[in-house]
Amino acid sequence: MRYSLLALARQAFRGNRHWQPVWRDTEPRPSYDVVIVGGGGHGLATAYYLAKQHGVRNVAVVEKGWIGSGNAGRNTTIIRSNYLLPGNEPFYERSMKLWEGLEQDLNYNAMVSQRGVLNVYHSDAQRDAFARRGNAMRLAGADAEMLDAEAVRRMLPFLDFDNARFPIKGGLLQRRGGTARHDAVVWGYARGASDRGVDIIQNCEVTRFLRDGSRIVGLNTTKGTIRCGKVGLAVAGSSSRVAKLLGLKLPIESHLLQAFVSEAIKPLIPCVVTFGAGHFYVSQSDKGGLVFGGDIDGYNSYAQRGNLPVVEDVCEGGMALMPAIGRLRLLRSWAGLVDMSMDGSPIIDRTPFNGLYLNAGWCYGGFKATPASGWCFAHLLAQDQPDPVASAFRLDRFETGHLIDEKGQGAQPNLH
Amino acid sequence: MSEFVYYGDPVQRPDPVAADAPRRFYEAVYLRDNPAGPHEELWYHANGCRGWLRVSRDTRTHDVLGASFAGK
Amino acid sequence: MADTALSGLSALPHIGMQTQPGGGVTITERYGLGIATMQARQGQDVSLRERIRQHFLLELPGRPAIVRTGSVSFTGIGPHHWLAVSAGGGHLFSSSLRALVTPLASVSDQSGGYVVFRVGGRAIRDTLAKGFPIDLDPRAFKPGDAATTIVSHIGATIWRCDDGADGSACFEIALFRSLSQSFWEWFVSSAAEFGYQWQGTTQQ
Ligand SMILES: Cc1cc2nc3c(=O)[nH]c(=O)nc-3n(C[C@H](O)[C@H](O)[C@H](O)COP(=O)(O)OP(=O)(O)OC[C@H]3O[C@@H](n4cnc5c(N)ncnc54)[C@H](O)[C@@H]3O)c2cc1C
Ligand SMILES: [Zn+2]
Repeated sequence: MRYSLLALARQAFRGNRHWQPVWRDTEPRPSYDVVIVGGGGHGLATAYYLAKQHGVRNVAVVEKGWIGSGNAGRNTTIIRSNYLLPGNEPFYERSMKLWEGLEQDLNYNAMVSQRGVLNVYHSDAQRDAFARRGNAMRLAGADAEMLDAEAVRRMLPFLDFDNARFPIKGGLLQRRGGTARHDAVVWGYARGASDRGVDIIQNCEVTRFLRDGSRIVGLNTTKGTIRCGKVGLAVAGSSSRVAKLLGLKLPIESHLLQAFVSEAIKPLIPCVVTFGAGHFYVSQSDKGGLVFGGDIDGYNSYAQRGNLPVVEDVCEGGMALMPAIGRLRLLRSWAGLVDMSMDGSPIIDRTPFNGLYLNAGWCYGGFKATPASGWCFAHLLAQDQPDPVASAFRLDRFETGHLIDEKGQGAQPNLH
Repeated sequence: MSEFVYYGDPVQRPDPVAADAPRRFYEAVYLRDNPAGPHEELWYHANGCRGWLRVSRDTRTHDVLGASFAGK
Repeated sequence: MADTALSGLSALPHIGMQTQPGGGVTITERYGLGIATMQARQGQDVSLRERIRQHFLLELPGRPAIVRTGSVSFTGIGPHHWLAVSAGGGHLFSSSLRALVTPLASVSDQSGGYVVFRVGGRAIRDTLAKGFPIDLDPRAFKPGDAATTIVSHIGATIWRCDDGADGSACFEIALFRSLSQSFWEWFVSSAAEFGYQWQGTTQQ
């Protein structure tokens, strides 16, 4: 069913009793041309673009829990293309352009809201770094504006501008950045893929790879054996665990990232704001809650459960930037399992196994990448060639020295 | 931020004059087992005695299974 | 020559007589202390313990704990590493300690480097819990126990003293003197709901 004003009206007059499930929940068939492992945003977007752009429709997405139960359903929904390095920025700008047309393309309301992403800066050196980043963004076709303190004040008069330690000197604004509703993105891609014949199989964990020499020919899952021509891994924080089934060691550590939501308040924060002197970023949801987060917990973990020192650190960052929120109560917090790569940038590439393709290393920032990641991974799976904007995301770059290290931190994932 | 700082896997520095040194350095610096379960790792007691600890910890539960001084 | 003698200053000379009604906690600065860190040289742990035992008639703690004799205390702050505090003596204390333990250990004077606060009162645990990440419950942290940790981002060593006559808890906290103003600000904001009293400096 296509969503439209007319469909909405028709359903309303019939008491809203005739809505259909948005996508088909299926059991596995014996074989597929392509099996995507992982029903997060990236896996589902990959299946969608495989079917839509490349006509590859004999596809299954297998998900060990339910779709969107991983990071896709846990993130703070920020989308932006404000990267510095040439290996990254064109890819993220591609993603931004896909976001801009996503709802029309999917015929699904993903609540894409281009409310702007503002990174405030607190020193001359930071201003220079942001100016450089803004210029790099514009060279890649993205939008970027440098704001002085007065311009920031007009947007967010309640920030602590005259803080003795970290005065706010201005900000780098990407107006086209913003937020999108994370689970609507999952459901929208699932629907688009499902409508084009893709099977979405939940509660189906991949437990073993079937090989013919170095070629992958199928998978054992908790719902039986599935034969396939190609396998695409898009399991985010579980990448190392799944790769280990093949004895493959990845340049990845799994870490925790927490997120927080406060009680709802009147509209206060019109855009996404990031603090330049600590780990804190925030936006306000349409329901009124402040959605915020900060740094990763800092040690390897598969627990999907964060610890208190980071809660304190994030709240301190928030208080330093906007003391006005001091009386707000925290409603909920949770954590996701993020796949931290050794240079902070992702991998979309072939692997040493024929027929096995890898999409991983999204760190704490892969939600914004969902459309382009799916687009480029589908391209790679269908054509066996990387899409030009993702051609730097090679698995062997750590060995050849072609790192894409935005922060210049080296192989220390808890610092990226 | 807190009392202890995480340093990650304790890797042995490979022999720099070995014939396959580049490959071994690549593996030591960039590849990780990243297990879900017991994990050997280094922690630095930064806001404390500034000692290095070798800790065994379950990455699924955060239970510390054992700790010893790293130098030993 | 009296004019040229340098006398110590309080770490918080500008506090005045600060009080917040409520009577929850008290804070005092121990003033005029001789403070030194002592670190055993490699392989000299046993000999150092013996030397300290003979001279002070006490056993150096091999864990985070404090032992006292007369006016001198030793607190374990790391492997083979102690914080020695003497009530009085200033920097002369470290000279005499160094003379005693050379060449078994290295001694550095910290009399001007550290400040020691004594805190107590019925709400002291609730106050400290806002900044110390460790468990200071009486069952977990007994008199004589010590810990080198942080308080509100500030590196600190804390030990538990004997309870006061009224049964309320008492702790001492050593931290870098240059951070005492930060500590003070954390302390008074954390203690505000209970009430606090700054009792000035004490010569012991
Ligand atoms: C708290 C938090 C906040 C974040 N905020 C942002 C943000 O504001 N902006 C941004 O751009 N990014 C953000 N991210 C990062 C972003 O969410 C992730 O990078 C992105 O969602 C990862 O891709 P995915 O959606 O495909 O992953 P996931 O949703 O994690 O999908 C992977 C799926 O694989 C499944 N799986 C694992 N093992 C198996 C197996 N053996 N068999 C079958 N299935 C398996 C999992 O169950 C999971 O559903 C955030 C992440 C977290 C945790
Ligand atoms: Zn220690």
